[in-house]
Amino acid sequence: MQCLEYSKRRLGAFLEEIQRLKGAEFPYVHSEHALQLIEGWFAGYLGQLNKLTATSDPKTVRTSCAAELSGLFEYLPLLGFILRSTNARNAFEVHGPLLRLAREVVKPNIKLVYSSEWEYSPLTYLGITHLPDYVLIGSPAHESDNPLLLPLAGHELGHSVWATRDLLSKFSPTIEAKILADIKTRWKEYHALFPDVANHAALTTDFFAQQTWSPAADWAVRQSEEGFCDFVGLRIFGESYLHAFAYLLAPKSLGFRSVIYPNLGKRVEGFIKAAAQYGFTVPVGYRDEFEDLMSPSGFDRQQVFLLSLADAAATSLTDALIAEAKSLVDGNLKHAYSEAEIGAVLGDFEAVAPATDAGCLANILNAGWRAFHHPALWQEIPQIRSKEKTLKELIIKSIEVFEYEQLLKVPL
Amino acid sequence: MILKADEIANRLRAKPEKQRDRLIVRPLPDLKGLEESGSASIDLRLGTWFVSLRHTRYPALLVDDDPNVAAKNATLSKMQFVPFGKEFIVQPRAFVLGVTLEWVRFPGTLAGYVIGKSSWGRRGLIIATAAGVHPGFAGCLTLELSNVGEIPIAIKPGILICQLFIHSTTQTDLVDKSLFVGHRRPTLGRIDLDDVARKLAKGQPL
Repeated sequence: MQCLEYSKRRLGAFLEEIQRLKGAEFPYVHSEHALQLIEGWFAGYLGQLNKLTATSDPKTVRTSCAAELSGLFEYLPLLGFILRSTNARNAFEVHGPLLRLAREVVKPNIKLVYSSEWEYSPLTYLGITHLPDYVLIGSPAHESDNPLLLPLAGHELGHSVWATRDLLSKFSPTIEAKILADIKTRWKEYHALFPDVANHAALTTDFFAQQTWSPAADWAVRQSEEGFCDFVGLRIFGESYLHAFAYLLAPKSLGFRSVIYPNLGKRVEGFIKAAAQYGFTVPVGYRDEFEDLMSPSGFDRQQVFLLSLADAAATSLTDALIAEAKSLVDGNLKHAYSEAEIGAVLGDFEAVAPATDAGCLANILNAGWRAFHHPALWQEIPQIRSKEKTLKELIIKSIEVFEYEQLLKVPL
Repeated sequence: MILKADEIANRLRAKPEKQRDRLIVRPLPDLKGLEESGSASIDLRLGTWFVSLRHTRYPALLVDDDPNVAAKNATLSKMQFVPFGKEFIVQPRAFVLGVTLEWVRFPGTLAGYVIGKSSWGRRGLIIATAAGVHPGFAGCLTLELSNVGEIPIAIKPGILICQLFIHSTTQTDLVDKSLFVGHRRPTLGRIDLDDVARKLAKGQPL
């Protein structure tokens, strides 16, 4: 069977690539350790493949090769991600403060790979089996030195919080109950679309009936997770999260909406609701910066109906998710942002100086956004050729000074 | 007049009415220690970024203010980040750019210059030139590091690497607009050609 031989060869090539990558100059050990973990697992798997022979059960061989191939599909992009964590375009200074933040809000032993992606949206890799104690955060490559987007890392941390606290188990029953209740309310509509389902009771007892609404539940769960992650970002970073989000996504892209996110307008309305409960001001006209994306392309009437159920279920959880994010962040964050500290950092920026005693990352980033929107900033300083570039440098330097101050607090 | 350390400490503490009149060094050094040092300079630490030159398909570092030439020159240099706790090795005869950890902001009435510390010089690591700091400068100071010794030297971000002498200047509202302001990383900087240099660069007409 050729597939076994092919499988061993491609896995060998994958391991050789890891060897090459290990020669990169890694500023931080977590990237290097992640590579070693991946290498260890795949080397072990190659060992298992090597035990298979021409006389092995063909079904076992095929299953093993298929699993190997799936592993390559899943982990090859990760190798690229880890390699890009060494690229000098990154603002490496953010690693320490971001790691401290992750260890506060996710879990104390978490490791961080902060990298860049050739994807527009900042992202995190979720459910990486062989990197269970890692949070992987990537920013778009062309913005990877832009600290003003750093509040969006709060969203990515939210995904890790969602997973480690198993919030799926907590919120799934509520979502399913809401969907079932809505189907009941809209039974005529539902029955016209799914005539084979005889009655309400079948929705939970009959396997095929369950399949009719389960996509709505899946989408609502994903939307709720994304909403929760936004609220984590908003709770940690306050107003700066709003600005970073708008910078990246306003007014909308011309594509179709994704079923796993609330539509853009609804998402932003969630931000505004959270801001009111978290006690910070939303910039005037913020909601109007955004427009809804187009409905998904090629959806039939059943799918349109299911999406409306998902949207309604996710929206119904908004208050609970805002409260959950607040509770989890407040219970773990050692230093929250404050107006007084933001003002002090902004004062330093006005003096073209990095901040000292900034207190937390969120203070620096909020002051950074205020400086960004400050129309008269540095107008009297002709040597500053680009306000934006100088501001980025000042923010990153402030983050480095903040890390320096944290390191000095540790006794010798 | 060169400022003594206690005067530097006083200036760093002072918060004059106008932001532009402030002398700022961040991270802030130990002001009490500075006061008591009795020296006439302030020690600065090594930062986390380095630039080294490398071989590429381009033949040489070119001197021209054409942006395309600047882009080619950029490929001849390699930027490296070394976090706190790790080392950067300066090989014998190597020339690299480093940067101070401290970001300094000079008011219009002060200027300064950076020189190496003799303890490093005795080990072969010298700061190749005394970098001038002009009134109004803001940013981290690029350091030209050279190992003139025969064995590699390991340096770590955070070590005291150089000393900054500060002196007062005559009061003026004029500022040097060619200053490189606001960099946290070492930079090759531009070599601006003035009109005389541009004309001479053309050579004699055929």
